[in-house]
Amino acid sequence: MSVIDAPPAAAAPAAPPAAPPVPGYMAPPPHLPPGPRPPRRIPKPPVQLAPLTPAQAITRSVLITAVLLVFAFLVQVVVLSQLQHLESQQRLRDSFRAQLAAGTAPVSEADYTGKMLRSTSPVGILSIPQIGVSEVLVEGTDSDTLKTGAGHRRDTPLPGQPGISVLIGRAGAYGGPFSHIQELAPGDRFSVRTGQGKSTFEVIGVRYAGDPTPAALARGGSRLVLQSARGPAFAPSGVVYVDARLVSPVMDAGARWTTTGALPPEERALQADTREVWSLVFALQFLLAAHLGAAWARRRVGSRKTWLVGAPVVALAVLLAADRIVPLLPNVL
Amino acid sequence: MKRMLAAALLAGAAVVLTAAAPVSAFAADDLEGGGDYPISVTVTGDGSVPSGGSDSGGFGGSGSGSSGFGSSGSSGGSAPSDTVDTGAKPSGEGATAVADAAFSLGGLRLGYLISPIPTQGELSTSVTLRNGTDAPMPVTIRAWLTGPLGNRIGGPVERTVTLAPQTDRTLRMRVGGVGQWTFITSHLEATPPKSVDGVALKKLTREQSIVIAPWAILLIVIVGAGAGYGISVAVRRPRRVVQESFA
Repeated sequence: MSVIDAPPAAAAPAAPPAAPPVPGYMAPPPHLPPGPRPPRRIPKPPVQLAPLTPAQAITRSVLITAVLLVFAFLVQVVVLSQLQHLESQQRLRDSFRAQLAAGTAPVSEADYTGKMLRSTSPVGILSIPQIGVSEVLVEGTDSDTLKTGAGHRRDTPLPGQPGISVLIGRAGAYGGPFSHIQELAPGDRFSVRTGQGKSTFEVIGVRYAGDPTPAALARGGSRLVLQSARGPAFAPSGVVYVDARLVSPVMDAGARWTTTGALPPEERALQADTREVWSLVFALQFLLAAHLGAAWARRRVGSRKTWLVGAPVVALAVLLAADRIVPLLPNVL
Repeated sequence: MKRMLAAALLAGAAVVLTAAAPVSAFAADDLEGGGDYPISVTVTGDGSVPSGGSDSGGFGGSGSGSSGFGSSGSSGGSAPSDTVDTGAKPSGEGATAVADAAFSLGGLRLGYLISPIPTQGELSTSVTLRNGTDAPMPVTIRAWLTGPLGNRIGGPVERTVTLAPQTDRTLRMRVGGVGQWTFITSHLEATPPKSVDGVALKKLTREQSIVIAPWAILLIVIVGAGAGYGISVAVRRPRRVVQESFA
């Protein structure tokens, strides 16, 4: 019997039909335990992006940085500035109360030791219940000073003293303490407490630039002018003035060394402050360094670790730069 | 392509809705022929001096009473005589304590009352006028409202009120049918006589802006975007998987 004639061997148990091979899936070798079942759906192939040219990479980085700066600026002006103002007012209020209790609150342009008051020193508390204002006044009216609270212009007497006092406040950012001064009606009364006591004022009217000004003060008279921005929030179109006459006894005059001519233009309403542009340059350098460092670290240690460490640093740099942009805008914004 | 078509339809719907309010406004304006579409004016007097009651009405025919607007128009209890002024007296001829405020204006308030009807919604504005002289003062008030592009959406209305000596009066204006205008500016012009009691006076203009959330437009955009996405999912063809690139 030849091999050809040999009877067929006993029929082996029928093996289950093999599943059709899944493209892209390699079955494990037979000597290994069975692995996981093949997925029902084939995972999408990883997207392989073409590498960016140096020009494209730089353009992308610049765009990302610009978008981050704009976003951080909006967050700084709309949200964070309000919190900073709250914190500043709390600190100033504590300080001024302590000075009132100790009898050392300033009544002139110098403190009780004879040193000239530095900017952001508290000089009084303004209370306008009609529009919900209770604000600690600070000395100085430049942009950085007005971040902490409404400011007293250095070349004018303190409220309640003989002469015309000027208070300037922001209308939108950093608490916007003077955002509603246009709502003050003629006859409304409000008060200012300084180191000399409480003075009460009565609103004469609301005035725009070009309107007739109140008559000149007689010798010994006292008046107060509130100044802020008018127009849409964060888009000032001019200055609004609220004139108020003193209706309580006039206080004694305090010494003033700053004259109107010597007042820096940055301390006037609706003025920008470019004296510290160098700080913005440093902030942008910090931002650039943080960006480059993140790019370098991403290649060395990977994306996850870079995000973990780099994101807070870049956020800090962006917010710092946004904070330094604010002085370049009108101080009553 | 279909998504682009859906987006174009949505944008068109938004534009039509946005244009609906001004169209109706100008239509009403034309019908009444006086340019006094929905602004109503209410004048209230200060408590210190009788003002003869509220002389509301005559503007748009509504003549409504209190507007419900938050302005109280209080003058802080100002007395007719300003006896508490502490020496802030002008030095000019015939100067009095109130001469530094012969005619003043303040109390500018602007508020918005939202309405469930998209083309409705009410804007309220008020202003307080003060006559600091010893003579009656007729003042002509002109008010109008403009939209985000400077387009007129209400008014102008004009009214003459007489301020009693040394008193103030509050004007409240209500504007209905503000609709979905997002940025509205209220303009007010007060023209006093050229001189009263020898004091020269000048016309004053004031303006205030308010931002109104265009809720109906936003709602339509959101609903339309969701519908557009659903339609695009339903009608798009399945993607062809390129297996060779992964094998």
